[in-house]
Amino acid sequence: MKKSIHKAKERTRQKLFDLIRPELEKVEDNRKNLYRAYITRLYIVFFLAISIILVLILVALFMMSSDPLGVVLIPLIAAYLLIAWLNKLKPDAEEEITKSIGEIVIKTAHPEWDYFSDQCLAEENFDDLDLAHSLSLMDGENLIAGKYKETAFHISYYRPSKHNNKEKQVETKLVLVFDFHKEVTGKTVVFPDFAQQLLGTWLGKEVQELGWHGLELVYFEDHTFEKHYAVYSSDQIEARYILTPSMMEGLVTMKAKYGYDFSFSFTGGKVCVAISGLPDYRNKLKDRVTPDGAYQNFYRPIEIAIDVIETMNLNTRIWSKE
Amino acid sequence: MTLFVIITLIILFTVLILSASYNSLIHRKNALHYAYNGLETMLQKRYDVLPKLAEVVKTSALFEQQLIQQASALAAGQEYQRLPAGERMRKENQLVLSIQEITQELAKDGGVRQQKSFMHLQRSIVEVEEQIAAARRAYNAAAMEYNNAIVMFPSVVFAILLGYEPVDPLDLMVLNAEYTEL
Repeated sequence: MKKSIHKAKERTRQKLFDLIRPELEKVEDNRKNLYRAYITRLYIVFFLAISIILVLILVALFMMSSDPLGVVLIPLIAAYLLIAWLNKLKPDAEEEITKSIGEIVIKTAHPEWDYFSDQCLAEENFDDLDLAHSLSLMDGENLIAGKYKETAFHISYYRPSKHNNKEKQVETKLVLVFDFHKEVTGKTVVFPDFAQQLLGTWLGKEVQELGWHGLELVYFEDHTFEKHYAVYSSDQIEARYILTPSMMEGLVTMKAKYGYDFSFSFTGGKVCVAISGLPDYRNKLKDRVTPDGAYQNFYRPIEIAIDVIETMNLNTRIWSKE
Repeated sequence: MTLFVIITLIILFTVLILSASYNSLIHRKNALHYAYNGLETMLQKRYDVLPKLAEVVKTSALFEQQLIQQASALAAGQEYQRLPAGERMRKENQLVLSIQEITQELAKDGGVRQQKSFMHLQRSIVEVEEQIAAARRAYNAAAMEYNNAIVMFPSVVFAILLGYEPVDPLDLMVLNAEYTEL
């Protein structure tokens, strides 16, 4: 069974590769041009910087100002400005290439879905996951909106903001928002269990007992699930209504399968999933544009989203939500 | 003076530990009551399904009609609500078996099986049963926390003084999702 699924996936992958290859070759040509232009600018800036620095040093020496600080400072400021300008050119070019790849992959694999390279999910979607702070330090882009069977979803990518130089530790995230198939009136959140992993079972549990943003800790009978996740909810019964034994098993399997950190929030008829620890999906300017890279960066997250929908049984409609 | 401060600190620390332990025990006891009330609310939803079931059964054989009458009478009994938890769950299990029996009998009739009202009924039963299963799990989790608290030191002291007894987890039957694939 597993082998046949793997073979079917491989066939889909190869088919996708064949379809996107001609279009990606055009992007690759564009990348080469952008890379050449970047390298040319790099040389120009380098020689310009050296020239300016030499001229400024000469001017400073000629004027023989008695201030030695000025002699050092002026060339340094000039060099910094030139390098800052050069640094800005690279992300813009990488962004342009990545967007082209995203457009090709999504339009080819799922033409019925919408792809907006410049847009991202609205902040209220992940307010409950307490992601608003970390995501405010990130740039959101590549919004994909579609429907898989009965379930409408939105996917958005977040990467450390180019304006955020201080908090480099922020990881690339993938945020998914789905329609939830059950009636939920309260709020339930599921996080990776960092407290018990860092502080040990007893102390971690004591810390978690304090609750989270007014939500109570919920214990589950599934020890494997408890080892991986911590659940907080406004309603103990509703949390268990959402997290059925099969759902808990599914969440544990997903974590083991992908190795990423998954967080979930269930509120107001929606489920929001944040996946952390993903590799950066941007195509580096120096890296070749390949079907495999495009697949890993754009089709793989779609596969994860579909897997989440299947695992959480989101396509099973309950009678009151049909 | 130093000895006095040390003794005072020890007393304060002991009082603090005992207060926290007492409060925790009371919290667990209340959480158990709250979980049982939550379960009762969910069970009430099951009784609310019975009139819908009666509506579908109306056109069917006498056997099903008798079963639904028995089930409805069971749920409507005043004393039924006041039964001890264990006895109550036994009656609930009878009720759920009756519901299962009735719907299985109805499903044998191809005409009824295709009825939109019957399919709708089956799904609403499964939804209610999922909520009952969640309430049962919440109660059993609260019972485990309470049972642990009344045997652990120092809360065991308060449990003895207050006469708290361990409670059994509830053995309550629910219909699972496969039930709709009859």
